[in-house]
Amino acid sequence: MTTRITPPQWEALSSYLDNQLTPKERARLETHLKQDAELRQALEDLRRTRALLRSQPRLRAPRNFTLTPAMAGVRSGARRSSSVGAYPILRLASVLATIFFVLVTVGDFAVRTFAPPPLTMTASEQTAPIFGMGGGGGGGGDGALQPEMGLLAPTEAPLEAITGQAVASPIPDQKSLVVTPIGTPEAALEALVTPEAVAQAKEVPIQPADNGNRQLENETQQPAAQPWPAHTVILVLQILLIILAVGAGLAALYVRRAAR
Amino acid sequence: MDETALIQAALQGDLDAFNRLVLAYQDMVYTQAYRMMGEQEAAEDASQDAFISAYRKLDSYRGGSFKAWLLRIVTNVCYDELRRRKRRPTTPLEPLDNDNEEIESPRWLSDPGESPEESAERSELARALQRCLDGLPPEFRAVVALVDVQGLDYTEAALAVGAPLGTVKSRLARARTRMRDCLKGVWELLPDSLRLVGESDT
Repeated sequence: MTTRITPPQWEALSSYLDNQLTPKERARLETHLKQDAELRQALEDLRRTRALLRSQPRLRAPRNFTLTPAMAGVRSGARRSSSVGAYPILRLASVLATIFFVLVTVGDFAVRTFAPPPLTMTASEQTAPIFGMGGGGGGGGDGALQPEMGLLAPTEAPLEAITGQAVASPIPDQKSLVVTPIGTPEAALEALVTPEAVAQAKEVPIQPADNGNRQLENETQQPAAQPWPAHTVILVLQILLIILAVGAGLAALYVRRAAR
Repeated sequence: MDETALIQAALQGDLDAFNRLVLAYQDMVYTQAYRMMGEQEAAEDASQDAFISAYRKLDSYRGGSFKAWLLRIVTNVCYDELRRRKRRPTTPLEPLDNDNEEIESPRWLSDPGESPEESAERSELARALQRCLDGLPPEFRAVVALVDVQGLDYTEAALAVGAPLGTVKSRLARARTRMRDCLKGVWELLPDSLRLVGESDT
């Protein structure tokens, strides 16, 4: 029964029911309808179908779909903007922590690599303070207390010369001079960027074996004030920086994902 | 407050204003979702998602028929969900059972003048109707629901499905033709008013 009616004809019938045909199309279809009983039947079927569909009442929503502030806020409002604000800060924190970690690690490695022989030697002489790369302040202090090892260096000059706190340790020989007070990596870094400290370190009467590399190690801070061995301090610093880097990185990721 | 003013207020972040729009349109949105999804729970989820999405995208509303704009959003939400189900066909739903529950709910049979027999006929007919709708491809279902259930004109329907007018016309014709074939067995259930429907209906 439906085989003879083509899809365009069905479309014309459908549009006819909705009064969507142009006058020309409408006239042509009505002519066909008069001549074709099957087409008339098809139109009647479509009309009933359409009427049935249109007879269905609009459903009532089974509940209200009003938005709570949480629904609105979570997905669009203030929370998103605040998260977006926190993201770059956390990201920056993570990056900075990583950079500092690398600096500290490289600095530590460099100092250890350049200084190992004197280190061991002075360690035998002066134990903790000398070994202290970081807390190395003790080195200066102890060194100052060891005149019997040969006061080759008058302490006054370096004391005044270097930041007031730094003490050029009186060291018995070149080796120990090289070794003795080793600053923390931070101190070393400072020394690197403050030429006057370098120059002042050179004023120490003792002949530094290798000024270029060592003078920064001549600086000491707060003699005896730092009870921690330097390597421990560095280790703690490294751990803290790693935690900060990873933690801030994860927090940044979380914030970004939550903002989506 | 009129619709435009409510939309403007909602754009300024006035959630109460938006919720007044929700209350005004939720039956329409839910009906569309139900016709598309064929079951209540999915229709509720789609409706809620549609309103959340509408609130988020309110600044993309460029005037014109707000009704068509909302219907487009809910229709797209339904498309997405239907596609998702197609990809994960572990949750096929036999519409009969769910429909039973839904259709016999008091909301559906809200006509107080109906006799029990009429109610039974009506529910059976409605069930058959929804089953036939469920059998249509989603694109056809969307158009026939928009035009014949929601009463949109062709232009609004084209807006709501994001398709050209010609596409809407042909999809509607094919949907109605398929519905006609599907409903053949249930014509006797039609109430007289529909069975004898004549020229006056257009």
